[in-house]
Amino acid sequence: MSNEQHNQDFKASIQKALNDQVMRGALSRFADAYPTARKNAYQGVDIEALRGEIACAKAKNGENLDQLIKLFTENATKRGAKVYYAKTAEDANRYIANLAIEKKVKKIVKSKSMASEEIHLNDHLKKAGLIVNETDLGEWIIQLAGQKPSHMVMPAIHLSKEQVAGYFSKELKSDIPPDIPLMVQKARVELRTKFIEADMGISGANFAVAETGTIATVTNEGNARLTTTLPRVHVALVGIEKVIKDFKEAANIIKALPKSATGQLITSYVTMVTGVTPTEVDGQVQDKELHIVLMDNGRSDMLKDPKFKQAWQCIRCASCLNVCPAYQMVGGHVYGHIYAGGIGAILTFFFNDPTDAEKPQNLCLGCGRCTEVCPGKIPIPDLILEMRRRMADKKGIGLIPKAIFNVVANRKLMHSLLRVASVGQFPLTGGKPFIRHLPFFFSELTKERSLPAVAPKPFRDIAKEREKKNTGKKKRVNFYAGCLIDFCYPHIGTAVYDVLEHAGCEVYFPWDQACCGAPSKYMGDTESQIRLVKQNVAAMEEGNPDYIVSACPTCTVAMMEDIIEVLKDDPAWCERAKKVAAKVRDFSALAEELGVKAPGKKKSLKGKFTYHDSCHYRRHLHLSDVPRKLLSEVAGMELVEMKDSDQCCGMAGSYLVKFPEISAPILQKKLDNIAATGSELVCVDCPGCVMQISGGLDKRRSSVKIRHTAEVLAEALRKG
Amino acid sequence: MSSEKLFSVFKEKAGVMSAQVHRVGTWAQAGELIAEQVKELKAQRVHLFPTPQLEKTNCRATLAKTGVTISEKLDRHELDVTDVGITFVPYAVAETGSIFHPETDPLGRVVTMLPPTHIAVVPFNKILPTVADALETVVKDFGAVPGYMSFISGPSRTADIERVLTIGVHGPSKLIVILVDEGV
Repeated sequence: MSNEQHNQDFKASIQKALNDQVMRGALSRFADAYPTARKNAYQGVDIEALRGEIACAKAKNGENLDQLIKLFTENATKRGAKVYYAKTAEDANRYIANLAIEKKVKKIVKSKSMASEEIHLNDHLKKAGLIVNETDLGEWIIQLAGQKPSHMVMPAIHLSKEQVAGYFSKELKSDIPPDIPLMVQKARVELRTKFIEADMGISGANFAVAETGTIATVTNEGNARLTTTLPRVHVALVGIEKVIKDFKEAANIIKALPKSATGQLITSYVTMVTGVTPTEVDGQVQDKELHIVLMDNGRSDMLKDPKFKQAWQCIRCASCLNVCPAYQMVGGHVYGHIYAGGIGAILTFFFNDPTDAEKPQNLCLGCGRCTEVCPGKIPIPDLILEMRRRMADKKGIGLIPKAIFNVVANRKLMHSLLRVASVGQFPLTGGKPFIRHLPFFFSELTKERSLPAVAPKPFRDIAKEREKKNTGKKKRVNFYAGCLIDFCYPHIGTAVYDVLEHAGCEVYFPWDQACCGAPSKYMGDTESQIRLVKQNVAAMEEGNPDYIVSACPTCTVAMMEDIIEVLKDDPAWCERAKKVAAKVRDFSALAEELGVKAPGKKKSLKGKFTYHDSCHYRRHLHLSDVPRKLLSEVAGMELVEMKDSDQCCGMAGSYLVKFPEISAPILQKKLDNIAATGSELVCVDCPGCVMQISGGLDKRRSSVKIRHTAEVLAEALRKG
Repeated sequence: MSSEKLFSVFKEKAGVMSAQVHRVGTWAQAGELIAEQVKELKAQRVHLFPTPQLEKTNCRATLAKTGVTISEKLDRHELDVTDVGITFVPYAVAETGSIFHPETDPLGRVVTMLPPTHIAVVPFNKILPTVADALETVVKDFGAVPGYMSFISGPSRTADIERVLTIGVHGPSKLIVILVDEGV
């Protein structure tokens, strides 16, 4: 398939998903209920300590994998189990199919196993002439529908009860109404016979304990218990990442998994099988056969990778999907293979084929909400970025983005282009007037939002005027403006100057500053990023400032962290970068540090405001409380929290270029949540969010205003 | 944690998991309560997994008075049409409101799985604080890891269709826990 065709197919699958109202409804109902359910389930539990323990234990297990597998195999074998190590999917499929034939198995029942979906086990067994029935309700529905699961924990979440009734009616050859309790009863009766008649039960495992040779399933329906009890042969297909050390680790997984997966205190059943146990066959008690297939299939490659070994810490709870703004819009099927979401793209990259992960990985907004909830503390967005970098190194990032980044990396050219753009349009690529809206924001993106025009006078010109008043005797702050403040929102820059001058600083604008490099980073273009970063390091050293301030969290993170990371192989530059980074503050943090206070006794501004947490601001800079405090205490306004204030607005750097169709509904949700507060003002600390949200408010003709915290503070200080 | 405190946490959490919790003073009272519950359920057939602890409830005699058919035969077809399964379960876990059932015997297992109601009799002084405690205790008490162990928390459930919670899929739709004060 050509790349262009591949692209079109991917885009078509997204459009199909977005048009699927049933799925959108179910996903959004679950997403709405999940955060509260999770919070309640974890009540009284020290989540952070638990996450730390799980992440640490899983990472350690990865380091000792060979020993753990050896220990598990010894202990399970001692208890009569047969342990088979399957290097590949084919090995696992072949072993299980051959075993079934050798044991004269005709009918198989399966309880839920993502590992078996991963290797298409059912197809192989069917080809071998075996009758296979999924018994987890969701999996059975998917099997009847001939589909793939769309969520790791809730495989049929994308189907409506009417659709399910249709599949049931066909299978049971009678007219089944879309009545959920009734359908569940029908499934119970139908599958009960299959459990009783089956010769082989195939289960997965949520974990396998090396010290005892135990395998465990964490389930709700009771089908895994029947699958592992009634048939005379039990096969457990276990990914090698599921092997843990001992019962102490097991207790932690039991504690976290149900709470993180579905917001349940615990699942109805946690079942642990250690070795061979007896069962009844035709009225006689006999020992079952237990075969444990430990499957690698790309897992050890992932573990060997210095970056991706972190994905080993996954316990497959799918809480990352439950909070992912992109997943909530498009569901699981667009992720191509079996595993969905950001973590899915990573697993697919190793378990299946890197090319299968190429398109889906782009769906990640990089908002970091997943990492915040992950019990294994996996930095999913960072790993996605790493994947993107590797793909870019291998295949390049495409001609148009490359041309754009070449322009961006050339400060003088870019700035003169932007100046030209403020007057007219500049035909750079095939006459597309994208430059008018800054390089990354192509013109077809204005459907759901208005985009800002380039300001007639960039902030750098305003800054030069203000600098003339500086005495050189006060604390020196170098202002890093970033592209949006410099060229679209100079008034935010002005406000930053007002507040910092009020706090006794003199602010300077190093003229040679360029784009922070974040857009290049997020596209995987390291070469352009390095060029930009060096330029900025040199520029920000100017005048040996006390502080370097940025009012754009993406730029702040880039100037605090990325400049060191990207220059780490260049000791001299890295040293300079570290010195610069140590002085970098985000605007609100500096305002707090400098002790910006309410001007008079009277609060100068009145009224309500709501606050939107920008992704980088909240999750990298951890500053959420600071602006709320500044706006309430210094500006004197009343905070009304909106629902999901920490959910991405859909801007996410170049995301609205790549996926305007997903970005738009994410924005609509944000606008609805803002409107529901009844507040006339929404405050943020990120000019990117200002652009996205103000564009949406404008299109809705909403009377709600959006302002950067700096603007509100400046006004309060002026009025005070 | 005192045993009363453990009980109150267990009762609360078991309630969250939709289990019914009863507390009685003696084994004999547990036997009476079993019969009462079976009567209330209008059950016609019950299955027992006979263990010395369950015999202490004398439930065979109390159940016989209700006219219900009592079986203890290991037969999956018969178990499939039984209304109630009755077992002794040696532990409970406060943290999760679970009963903890280490049971390798095939009858002891299927009696908790196939019938639509499961009645479990559990010693009051065996409510353990956490899942981790339960795993530690079982190894100590049994000397080795039992072949099949289950934490059972409330009835079988699913939310696989449209995220609507439905009770009673492949396992019991009712879990009745009777805690007995009198020591084993």
